[in-house]
Order: sequence, then C-alpha cells, then structure tokens
Amino acid sequence: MVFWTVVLAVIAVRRSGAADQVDLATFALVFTSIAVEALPFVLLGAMVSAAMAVYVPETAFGRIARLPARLQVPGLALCGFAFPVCECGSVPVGRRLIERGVAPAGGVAFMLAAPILNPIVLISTFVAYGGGSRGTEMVAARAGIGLVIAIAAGFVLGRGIQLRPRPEHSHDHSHRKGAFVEHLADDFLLMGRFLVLGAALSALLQTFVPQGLIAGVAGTFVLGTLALMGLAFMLSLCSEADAFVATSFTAFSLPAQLAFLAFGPIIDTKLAVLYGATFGPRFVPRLLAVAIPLCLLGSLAFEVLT
Amino acid sequence: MISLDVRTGRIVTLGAWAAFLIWLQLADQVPRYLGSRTAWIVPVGGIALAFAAMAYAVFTVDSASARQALRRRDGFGLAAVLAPALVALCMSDATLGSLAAANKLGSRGIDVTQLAASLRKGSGKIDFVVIRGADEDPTLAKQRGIEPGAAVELTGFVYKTGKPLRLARFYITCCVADSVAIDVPVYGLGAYPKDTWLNVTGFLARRDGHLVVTNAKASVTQPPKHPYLMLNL
Repeated sequence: MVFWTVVLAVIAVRRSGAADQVDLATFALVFTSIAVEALPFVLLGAMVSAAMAVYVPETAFGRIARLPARLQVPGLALCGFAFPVCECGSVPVGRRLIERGVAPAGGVAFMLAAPILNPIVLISTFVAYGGGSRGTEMVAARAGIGLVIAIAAGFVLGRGIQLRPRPEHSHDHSHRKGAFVEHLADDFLLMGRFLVLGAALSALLQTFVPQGLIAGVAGTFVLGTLALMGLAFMLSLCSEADAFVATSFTAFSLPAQLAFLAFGPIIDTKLAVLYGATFGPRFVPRLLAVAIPLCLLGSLAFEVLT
Repeated sequence: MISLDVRTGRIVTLGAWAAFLIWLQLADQVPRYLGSRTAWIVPVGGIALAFAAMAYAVFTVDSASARQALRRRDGFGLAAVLAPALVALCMSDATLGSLAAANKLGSRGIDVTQLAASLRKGSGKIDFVVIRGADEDPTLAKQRGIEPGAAVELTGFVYKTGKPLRLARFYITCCVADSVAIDVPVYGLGAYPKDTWLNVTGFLARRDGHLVVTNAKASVTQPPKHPYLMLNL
C-alpha cells in the first residue's frame, strides 16, 4: 500500500512539471548530489564503527583510555592518517570511540582530524595543486592546520561532552555477525537521516543565497579568507575532492584557498547537523569559536612563511 | 504505529538506496549529479549497500530486537533517509539553469584564464570556457587558434535575455554543489526565454574588446543527457 502510494506520488509530481520550476530543480539537484556523494562514506564509517563495537576487545580501548588526555588527544588525531574516508564517515567512528571509553577529547580530535589527514585527501590536494613544491606546501599546510584545529578543539570541546542518546534498540551480541549488521544499520540510518537534513539545508542556501556577494572581497586577505570559509560551510563538499574545487578560486589568494580546504572538512552545513545530533546543539558554536580563528591564523602563517 | 517491523523497514531502506545508486549508474544518470572525479562513488556505494542489505537480511533472521514493531518516529527517520532518492526520481529531468547561474560564484570569483589554460592541450573543440579564457589570455587564443572569424558551435541554455543574449553552460569538478556557469555573449538571435536550451552556430568576433559570437543561428533543443561539462584541472 505504502509502495504504490509512493509510486503514484512520484508519477504525479513528474507529470506536474515540477522539474521545470527553476528553484525546485536547483534545490533537487544540489540536495541529491550531496546525499549521493556522502551516504556511501557514511556506510563506510558505520562499518568501521560496527566492527569496533563487536570485534575490537574492551582491553584495546581500555589501554587507550588509561593514557592521559595529553597523549590520547594528539595520538588519536594522528590516527586520522590511517582512516581513508571523508568527514561523514568519521562522525560515527568518533562517537563509537567515546562510547568505548576513549576520552571524549580524543574522540573529537580523531573525528576532526581524519577527514583532512587521510592519505586520499592529501594525495588529491597534492595533485590538485600541480605537485612539486606548491603541492607539497599546500599538503603540509592543510595537514598542519587541520591537526592543530583537531587537537585544540579536542581539548576545548572534550570537557563536558555528552553524547546524545541513541534510539533504544537492544542488540543480541551472542551472534557476532548479527550484532555487526545491527550496529551497522543503527549507525548508518541514524547518521543518514541527519546527513539528509544537512544536505537539504545546504541545498536551500545554495539555491537562494547569491555566492557572488563574496567575489568583491577576493582581493582582501581577512575578508577573502573568511568568505571562502563561509563558502566551504555552504557548499558541503567532500574532502576527498574539494582541492580541485579550491584551485578554481584563483581570484582568491592561496592562503584563502588553504582556509577553504582546512575549514570545510572540519565543519560545513551537513556536518553541523550531524554534530548537533551526536553531541548536542552547543557543540557547533563552540567548534566554530575554535576553528575560525585558528584557520585565519594558519592562513596568515602560510602567507608569511611562503 | 506503522505495521512494519524494524527489520523489514531497514532492509527496504538499505535495498532501495542500493537499487537507486545502481539505477543511476546503469541509466547513465551519474553525470547529472557528480563529476568524473567522484563518479566512482556511485557503483561502489551501490554494491556496498546491496551487500549491507543482504547481510542484514540474512543475519537478523532470528533477531528478536529486529522483529520489534517499527515506531512512527523510526519510520519517519527511514523515510528521511530515502528522501534524496525520491526527490531524484521526481525530478530526473531537472537541470541547473539561470537561477543557479545567477547565484553561483561564477567567473567573478574564478579566473577563467587559469581554467582554460588547463585545456590548452585539449581536443580543439571550442567551448564556453575556452572562449572566455581566450578572451582574457592572448597566448591561449593563439595556441588554440581562437580568433575572430573562427566558426563555433555551442549548446547551452539562455542565461540572460536581451541583446546580446548570453548563452551559458555549467562546468563541474566534484559535484553539482561546486558547479560554475560560464557564459558567452551571442549576437544575431531573436528573443528566447531564460533557461531555453539552444544549439547555436556562428562566428567569433571582437566587440568592445571582447570575444563574442556573431551571425548566430539557433535551434531550440532538449537539454543534453549530460548537461554539465567537466572541469578536469
């Protein structure tokens, strides 16, 4: 009954010519493209999270949890080098780390660092900027700023973090494969609904907010950098391909492009919704208070040193 | 409460997304949403979701928790996850047009010359970004033989009406979210409404110091199946 209702609704909408409405078409295309690009990575993150829940023994997390926070935070941030997914996949893993006893600061640091430090992102950044010394500089700067923000945010935000409770589903852990797929489905569908909401918000912004407003400040350092950070927030791109987009903003300075690359994987529209759903509404403004000044400082340092 | 159990609802959701991604790939609809750099995500994601759906179906047969009734809130959550697929099915003929072009960063924030320079070794076909790049870079113009008198054929949508009419096409790198509209002035055409797709033939000329298309002839056409051109930087 539900299936045929949906089919009839789709047919009715298609016949109504909704695709000819320019605002609806723009929203639909941007919304779908963000979701199509991100959901497979959410699945990958959910697989890792489920594996951690079922197959990794408590003792492994216990050893990490016994380390002082000043070692856990940078150590877990550096583990981002080994996790080749974009930002959507790192949120369920960060959450699972905290649930298994790792210091919240460490879980947050990992979650924020992994989307920037993973090898695929670094390689794509190197290639996008033409390799050689320019590519190496951009890779080092992106990784450096990302690491600093992740560690700082971990220490600042880690205090007082309370994970929002999951919807209650009891799982039978006597059968590991069953437990694995149930955890997988839990994480994927929980993150997925908030990702879709974030994609919708991003699509609304891109449909109705003129991006050309920022073109006028391309030549000024602080405003241009802030403008590209704002654009990164709005576009909600995947960190594994955003370097190729950043290189097209050649009217903006390299430090401003660097800020785009460092800020976007840390927080964008869809991530803001995911973070709020995972850590509560206060997490996002606190993260912005840490990330924005550090991104600006990092870009300034790049400008001075290169 | 909705009369479904959790297990059925989840299998349907995972399976539907797998089917949707596989359909996108088989129906050659991926270029409507993603650039060539990220298109691989669709078949890989479709297969992974299909395996996830099958594994969930197989390994939760005896799960008591999975047989719990689906609560209304969980049902809406599953429906939310399916929303992008349903939107895509409803709007599969949609393309970006003048509204998106007006709101996107466009060439005011992007140095078109840099983009076109990457196409110096290109196929020789003169398209929107090459014309705009040649307009600003004489070296590029010389290398690609783009000079007044050259014949051009462009397919794009009407971005701005008036004289000249501005014909545009979107270029994407990663996905639709980063799309950029590059437009070219066209002289010699009648009035066409915004967002009309045209196949335009004409010749390049310089007017007020800029490369434009003149002596143009146009025919109305359907939006191409791959409406965006790829910026392979």
